[in-house]
Order: sequence, then structure tokens, then C-alpha cells
Amino acid sequence: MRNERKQFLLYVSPWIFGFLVFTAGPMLVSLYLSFTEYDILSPHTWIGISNYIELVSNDRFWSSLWNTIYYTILGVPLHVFLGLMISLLLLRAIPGIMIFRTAFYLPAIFGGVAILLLWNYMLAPGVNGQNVGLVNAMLSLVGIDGPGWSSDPNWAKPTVVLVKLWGVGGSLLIFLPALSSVPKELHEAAEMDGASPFRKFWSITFPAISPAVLFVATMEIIGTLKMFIEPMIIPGLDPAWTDTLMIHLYHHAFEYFQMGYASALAWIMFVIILMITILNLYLSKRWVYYDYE
Amino acid sequence: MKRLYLLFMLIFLMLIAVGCNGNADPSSSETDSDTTKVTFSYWGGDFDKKRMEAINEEFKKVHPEIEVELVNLPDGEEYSQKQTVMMSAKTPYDVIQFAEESYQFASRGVLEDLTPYIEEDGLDLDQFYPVAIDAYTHDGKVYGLPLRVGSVIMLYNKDLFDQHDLEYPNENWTWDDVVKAGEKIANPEEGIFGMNPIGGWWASTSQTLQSFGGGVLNEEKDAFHLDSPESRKAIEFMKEVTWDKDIAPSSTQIPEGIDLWTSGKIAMMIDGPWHILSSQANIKEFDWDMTTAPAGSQDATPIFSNAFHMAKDSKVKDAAWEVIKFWTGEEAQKILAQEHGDTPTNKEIAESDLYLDLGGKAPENFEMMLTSLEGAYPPQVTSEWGEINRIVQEGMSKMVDLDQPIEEVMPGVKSEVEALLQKLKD
Repeated sequence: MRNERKQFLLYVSPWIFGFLVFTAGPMLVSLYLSFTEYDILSPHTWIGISNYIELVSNDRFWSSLWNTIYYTILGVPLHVFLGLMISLLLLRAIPGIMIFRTAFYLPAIFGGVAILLLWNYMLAPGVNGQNVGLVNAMLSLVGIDGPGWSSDPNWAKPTVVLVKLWGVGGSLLIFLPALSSVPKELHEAAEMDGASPFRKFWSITFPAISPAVLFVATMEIIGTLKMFIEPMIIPGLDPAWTDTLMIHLYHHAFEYFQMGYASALAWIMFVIILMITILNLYLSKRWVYYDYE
Repeated sequence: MKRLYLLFMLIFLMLIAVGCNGNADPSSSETDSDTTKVTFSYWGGDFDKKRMEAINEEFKKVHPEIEVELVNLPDGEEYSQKQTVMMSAKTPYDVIQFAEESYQFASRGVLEDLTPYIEEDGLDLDQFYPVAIDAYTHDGKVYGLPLRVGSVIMLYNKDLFDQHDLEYPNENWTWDDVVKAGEKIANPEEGIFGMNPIGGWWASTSQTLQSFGGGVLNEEKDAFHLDSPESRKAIEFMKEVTWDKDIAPSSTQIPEGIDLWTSGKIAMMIDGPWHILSSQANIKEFDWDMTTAPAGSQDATPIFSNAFHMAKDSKVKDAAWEVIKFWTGEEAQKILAQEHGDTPTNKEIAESDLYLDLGGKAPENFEMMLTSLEGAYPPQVTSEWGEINRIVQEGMSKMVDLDQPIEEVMPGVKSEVEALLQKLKD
């Protein structure tokens, strides 16, 4: 028994070491730095909670926080809903289904800056009534006068949400296995009782896959709260329309080299994400079913 | 079991030890006893790369004992980030090109004061344009020596002026003349504009503000000046040409990925001198020429340049000084002059035919490059340059590109900049 305990510690020691040195250590240092003024090149000085005071009195912090919440409220449900709908379609055993599955999953791998730059060109607004961007040009073919996307204050945020949906296929990896493990006999029984397809989904499929939905939603919430590259590459004409907390952090840490301010912001983000995740897990008890319960 | 555990720990500790000692100081080290290696970081495109390598070839002939490793880094924020990280790790590049960030780094004590080296070698600073040296002199100490200097100039499309029977712009033109000509030429429906959008980056903003007698900060650089009556007049002018008169395109009128100037859609292009080299290479369809940037109530052109600095933590300072001296010396200046692009900082070489004689190539009025340097001023830098610059540019973009009222935007910009200025005083 004691041997087993030792072996456990031995085998887990690389991870513990890595966690302490590369995660817990930097976190504690950043907590300390959040109470200092530090520009990397000069020694840091203790300034108490000044960074936190500066943060809450900075308008940009509040607008970035609002943008981040906006993306989460609008983007996460869309992402989960569309991911689930696509997965339901791709569940069917029709010929060539693998091609469709690949096609919908691929964009999730081809992500990043290059694709976002491409979106930037495609969403370019028109100049003097001539459409430059591909998206608006296609919309005009069906008689729609496309919006100004990033250059329009009302469209800048939805544009970011829209572009982020490019990677919606990523949730296929979670949803497809979950959907295929829903017990067939339950569906058959429901069919005999004359249940409608919608009823079957709502009463059988959804409860059965609810842990997967919770997982995708949780990861997506955390990911969206930390969103960075989409609004960085496709900013609004006034960046205040689209900047997220991460972008605010980036400017202060790596452009102005205000590591103290940036650390304070990082900790505020940590607390926000922690609270939302706890709330999410707490609420999930009402709609997520586990087999062993 | 215990033995195995110990063995693991031992391997682990060895790995850590190796990791720590692996810090073999790649930036500045002696390759062997005969040659000293100096690392030299800069930014720029193909023209710059070619020039730097050409100078290095000459340097090798004179100083075989010094090996210069040229490191081309991405410019902008990334450049400052890289330098900050290298400096905080105590392994900086020995010679570092900086522009407006010079003061930001010098004030944090990571750059070497070059004044003692200059005095010891009796280097004559009078050979340079004074304004180019001033830009890198902080608190009476010279921190960087520049090779090239430029200022805001105006290029114009002769064909568009001919079409409307207008007189070509000259060095006496004011903004009124620009507006008059611009109104006749501009035809937004056809996508043709009188002038390029002004503002958008610090030098263009600064030039416009200054020409109306305004500025971002006051002369002492300790008070906010963007809301002074003169500055407001300049901002109103920028709004007027963009919106009321539609002479300059607003940012939404500029198609993504298309250069309006080289494709002949802009009559007057007021911007940096690098447009000359790209215009020579890319403009085939129309004739063009250049003159100085227009004046408002006064002539005003900020210079932009960059200079070679020495890192305080460099281990090969004497060799680094030789490099800086050579890179701003006569041979290097002559190599630069032959490009007929940026102006050499050495007055004598700048005024020679080596620089001014283009051999019949456009622009005909190339000597305006030198005229525009007369009365030019160094940029208003503070140690919070990066953040002030961003706040002001975003505010300007709201007022000019988005046509938001000055009254709405100004208080926010003012309070943010004043908070930073207060921090500088403390």
C-alpha cells in the first residue's frame, strides 16, 4: 500500500513540478505584481490597490467587459445550438456522410489569423455603392444591401460573433459520439407510443446528451470570455466597439508594458470566469442528467 | 524502489541544471579570440535589408576584426516587445535601431549614453542635420545616431491637375490652395479624391495640427494641447475635407487592399518620403512630382527618422560604438544617398548630386526633400509615448473618420492623456 502511494507520487511528480513552476508560480507572481507598478525594465514598486482603482475608473475596461459579455450571451448559445443542429444532420447514415462530416469539421482546424484576414477581405464594405467585399457582393445578387460590417457601430460586434461561428464544427467531436450513444430502444419505444420527432428529441435525446451539451457550453463560455484574435484581426472602425478584456490586457501588458495593471486585469478576469463557471455548473444540476443518478 | 526514486530525482535535477546552463548568451559573445561579434537589430523591408547588407560589406573591409550580425525583426509593437524581453533577460542586441521609442527606453536606463564616446573620438555632430540629432538627445545626452531622416512631403498626380487645367502645387501652397484644387478634382462617385486621408498616424496628425499652430502636447510636453483653439481648428479642417467637402476619402471609402495613390485615384498625397521609392517602382500610368507639405498658419513638418542606439548591457561596447560610427559615417551615407529615397543625415552628402541627381527619373522636384527639412521639428516624445500616441490616434479617428463631434470625444482623450502626464510628473 505504501509502495503504491510512493509510486503514485513518483509518476505524478513531473506534472506536479510543471504545475508548480509553470502555472501556480506565475499565477502567484502575477497576483503580487497586480499590487505593483512594473514595466519589466525598471524595478517594480508596491502601489497597493492603485491598479484596481485605475482599472474600474477606466472607461475602456467597462466597454471591453460589456463587449466580452455581449459575445458570450449572443455567441455561446448560437455556437451550441448550431453545433448540435449540424451534428443531428450529420448523424444520419446516408452514403458519403463522412465527406460531409469532414467538410463541417475542417474549418475548426483551419482557424487562426490567416482565415480571419480572409474574412476581413470578404466582409469589406462597399465603396460608393460598389461592392468590394465578397459577402456584400453576394448579398446584392439577391437584392440585399449589405451592412457596413466592422465599420458600422451596430454591426461590429455581431460581425465578430458571426466570424467566430466559422469554427462551429469543432463541437462535432463531442456531439456526434454522444448522439450515437443514445439508447435506440428508447426511441423505438417512443415511436410505438406515437411521439413526434420533436418530442423524441426533447424527452429522450436531449436528456441523454445533456452532459455533452454542458461540456461544450462550459468550454465555449470560458473560450469566449478569453476571446482575443477575432476582435484583434477584425476590429470595429472604432476599436472600442469590439475590444475584449483580453485585448485590453494585451495593450497594457505588451504595448505600454504596464505589467501591474495587466496582472490586476488578469485576476479580475480570473474571478469573473470562475464565478460564471460555478454559476453554470450550479444551474446545470437542473437540466443535466447523468446515468448513475 | 527508493533507489529508483533517487535516480529519477537525479535525472530531473540534471535536466534542470542543463536547462539553466544552456543560457549560452547567443546575442553578444566572442566567437573566437580574433573577432568580436556585434549583434545589430533593425526593422524594414527589402530596400532596408539590401542597404544594411551593403553597408556591412564596406564595414568588413575596414574592420575585419568585428563581425556584425544583422537581425531583421518585424516592426511596430512586436519590435519593442522583442527588445524589452531581450533587455530584461540581460541579453540585449548590442546595437539597436529605434525611432520614436528611443526616449521611452532611454528614460528607463537601458540605453548607453553615447556622449562620452562622441567626445572621446571628437566626432563632429555639426556634419548632421541638427534636428536629426535633437530627436535622439534626451536630457542633454545623445543616445542614438541617425543615418537617415525624412519629413512629411506632398506628392501630386500631374495628370489629374492637367485634366482640370490647374497649376501644379508648389512649396508655397497652403491648405486653402490644397482645398481649392482638391474640390475641383475630387469626384467621389468615380472614386477620385483630391487628397489622401490625413491623420491616421502620428506624423500626419502632428503635421496637420502643427501647421495650424496646434499640437498634441504643449512645447514643454507637460500639458494637453489637443483641445487648444488652434488644434481644434486643425481637427475641424480635417473633418471638413473628409465629410463636408468630401475631398479626402473617409476610411470606409478606401477599398481594402488597394493603394489609391499608385492607382491614380488621389491628386495630392501628403505623407512620408517612402512613397517616393514605391511610386518610382509602381507608377506607370501617370506623371507625378513632389513638393513640401502644405502650410496652414505656419510651415510645419515633423521629422521621422530612426537612429542606432547602444544597449547598456552590451558586453562589446567598444566594438558596438565602431559599428554605430561606421553606420552613420560617410561610406554608409553615400550608400543611402544612391537610393534617392530617405535623406542622408549628413548635410554635405544630402546636398550633393549623389543624392539629388535622379538621372531624369521622377520626381523632378526632388530637392524639395531638403527644403522640407528646413524648419522641421523632432516628434513630441515622452516616456509614455506608446500609450499617449494610441489614445490620441483613437480619439482622432473618432472625430475625423467617424465624424463624431469634437465636444463628445475630447473630454475622454483629455482626461486619459492628462492622467498619463500626471504620472510622468510624479
